[in-house]
Amino acid sequence: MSLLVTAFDGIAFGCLLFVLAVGLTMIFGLLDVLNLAHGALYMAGGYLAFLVIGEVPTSLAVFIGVALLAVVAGLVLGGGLSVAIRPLTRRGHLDQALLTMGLAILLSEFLLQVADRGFHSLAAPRGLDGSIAGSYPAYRVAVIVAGLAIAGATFWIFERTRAGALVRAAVDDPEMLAASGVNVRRIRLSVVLAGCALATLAGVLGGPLLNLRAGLDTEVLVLALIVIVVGGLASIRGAALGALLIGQVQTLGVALVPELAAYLLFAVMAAVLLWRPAGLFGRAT
Amino acid sequence: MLTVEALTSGYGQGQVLHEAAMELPPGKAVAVLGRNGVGKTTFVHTLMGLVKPWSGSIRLGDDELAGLDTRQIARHGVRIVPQGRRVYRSLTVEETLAISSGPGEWTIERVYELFPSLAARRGHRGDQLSGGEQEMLAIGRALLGNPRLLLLDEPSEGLAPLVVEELGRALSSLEGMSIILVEQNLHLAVAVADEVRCMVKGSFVYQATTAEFRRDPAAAKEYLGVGS
Repeated sequence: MSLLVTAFDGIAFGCLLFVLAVGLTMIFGLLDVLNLAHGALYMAGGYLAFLVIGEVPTSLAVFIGVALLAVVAGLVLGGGLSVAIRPLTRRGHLDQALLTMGLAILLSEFLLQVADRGFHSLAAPRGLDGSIAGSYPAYRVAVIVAGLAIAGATFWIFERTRAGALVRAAVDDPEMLAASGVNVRRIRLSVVLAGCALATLAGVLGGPLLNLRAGLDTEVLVLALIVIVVGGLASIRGAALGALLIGQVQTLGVALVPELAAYLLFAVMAAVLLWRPAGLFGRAT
Repeated sequence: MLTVEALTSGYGQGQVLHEAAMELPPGKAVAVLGRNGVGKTTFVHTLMGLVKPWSGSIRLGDDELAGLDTRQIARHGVRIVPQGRRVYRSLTVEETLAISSGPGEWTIERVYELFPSLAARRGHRGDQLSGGEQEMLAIGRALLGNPRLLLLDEPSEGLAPLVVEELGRALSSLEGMSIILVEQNLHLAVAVADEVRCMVKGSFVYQATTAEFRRDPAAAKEYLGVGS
């Protein structure tokens, strides 16, 4: 029974990881930029919510309002990010890594200055702070529902709409898309904005699950990186499956073999890469 | 219609086009012929802005295209069917045509009429198509932009003779469209084109109508190294 509860926790954590990782993988697929500030964006969402509502439970409406505020903040930060990385478009990955890592440090240190360096956690909103089916926290079920809804919406946009087809075409062959008269730069900007907004949204969603603290940005960034490497770069399906897998490995690992949990993640990643070097849904290049 | 003057371009330090000059009369199809490596692909890539011109002029009607980026050139009504086809591999036939479709006389239905075998594969992704179907898709994608100038780079490359014949029929039916056709397959080239230009070392050195070119086996031998 407790294993089942842990497995359910893993699903909730996986859903959270998906919301974070899907933007990271699409930004990489479309711009060839690995955004190492993605963890700091998550952190920004969480701290923004903490600064606005503190650690006390609020109504669901206020909580959703704060989540929307975090989305707006993500759009603004995403705009800043795309301005910052534009000069580096044709430079190597190392330059981009240095830039986005620098931005991540600036952002996370700024957040820790504005708040403080202590541990904080958001309270689940009222109505979701109880339990379901006896003892399971209702908020985690809500995270699963929200994660699935976001995943479903992402799939639908990506696979069934004209906008999604344009994004996929821009991943496949941006030069030919431009040769059809399409403004590829605008598509890239939209994906950066959406990815960053999802990251800050994930920060609010995860606020009641993961403590806000110094170092949170790198911790979630590493998890998201493992997710997209396991799932395959630039694949939404891959991000979804990778997130659920890593969510399970992380929560089950911590519950069953706590001293090995950190290594277990990398062991799973290594095993997947040995089996499929491009990740589960990656493209062989 | 299209007037190219003293066009030079290349890659890095390596100059490929040397003062290439040609005129394309409106509504005509011109075949650009020449041996491998003389700069035919570089020529059409430079027209499309995929390779930046170093100097020279590319005038389409009253518009100067040299110096514009690829998207702006596309907005002026130029479309390319590139060598190797380069279809979007994760998009279905239908999606590819839908995102390429602009206002004008070409509709997705008309592309399907031109290439019925494409209609039968409308739900398939680009990477699930045969080479011939990919070529048809690449041509359909270009036509849906209602081009004033259509650039075709080696459309017959790697295709079976029957498929090449079908392509030839389809391209010949585009009567009245301004086309530059780079082609190694001489039969397809003379079947489709109204006029012929031959390229040597990045310059155009020969021009003739297709009828004249057919009566001039010496030209084919000299510029293309073929005996017929």
